[in-house]
Amino acid sequence: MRRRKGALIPIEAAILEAAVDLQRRGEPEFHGFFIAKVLRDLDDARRLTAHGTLYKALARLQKAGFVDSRWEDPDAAAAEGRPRRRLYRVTGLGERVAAEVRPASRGQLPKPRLEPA
Amino acid sequence: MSGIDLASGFTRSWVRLYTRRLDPELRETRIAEIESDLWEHGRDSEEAGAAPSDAGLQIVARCLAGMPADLAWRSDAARRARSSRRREPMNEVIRRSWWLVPAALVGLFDVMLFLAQSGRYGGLGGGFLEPRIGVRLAASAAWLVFAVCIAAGIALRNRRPQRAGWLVIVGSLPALLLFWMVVPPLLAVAAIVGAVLHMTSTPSPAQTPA
Repeated sequence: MRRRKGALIPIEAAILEAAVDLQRRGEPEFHGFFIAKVLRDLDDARRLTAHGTLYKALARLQKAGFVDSRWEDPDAAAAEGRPRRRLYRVTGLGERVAAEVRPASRGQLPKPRLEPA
Repeated sequence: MSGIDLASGFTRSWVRLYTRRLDPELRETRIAEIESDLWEHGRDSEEAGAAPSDAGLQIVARCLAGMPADLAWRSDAARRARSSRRREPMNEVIRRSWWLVPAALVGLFDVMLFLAQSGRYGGLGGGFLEPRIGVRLAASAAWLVFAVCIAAGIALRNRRPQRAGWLVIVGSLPALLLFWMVVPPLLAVAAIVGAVLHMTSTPSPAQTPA
């Protein structure tokens, strides 16, 4: 899919909106698999977003300054016996952009796709 | 081995394949992120009571469906790395790579000793250093190995900085033994110091990104 430079594609807009909703519900940080699940539930889909599509979209959102990320404390992960999570958070800029894209997609949240972004 | 393990193994192999030869930090970040995703997916399926085979199929489907995006991401990352290398100022290139010159010269010196010991060049060899043929052949092979170590270290300097540093150190150390020759040992010292600095200033790919 050809994209205009700087334009959000549906999966990126969907991530941003879902992340802002999570923030409002008191969950300011999320990791990749978690947001994939949220997107699946929002869309009532059977499949989770593909790895490549999801992480490429997150990388692009971060590069644009709409989200930032940090690796969680290794001790916290070790205590739960799992690998460290990369935790993302929507930035102020990301919130403003989400507010702009929301009216356009309200009632028709962009569908998480499995095709390449 | 469950379906989840097989699917996770397949996905891991794919991630390692498409991140090959990328910037080590970028590569390790992607590997660690997918590793976390796989773990979370496995646990989520377990908690939901899904059959391991179904969960495994889902993981493989996510991996396969994301392959085109993975390749596009790789191509973009490689292009950005090339363009940032082109923009790197000359003094930065020199500061980062000066040690390659003494390392290459020591490697060349190792090759010359290999040729001298193997006696392939008549006057240069043939008892120049050691008259016994067995010892000469062993020494000759050793110098060749040292030269190969240095060449491999130089070739791997960006992809495996730690391993590259050790290879250059191993390849340069024997030149120190020939201290009466003055120049080669001095070059070896420079190469070793440079390799150590390279190892300490370049993050190991094995380190999980901070």
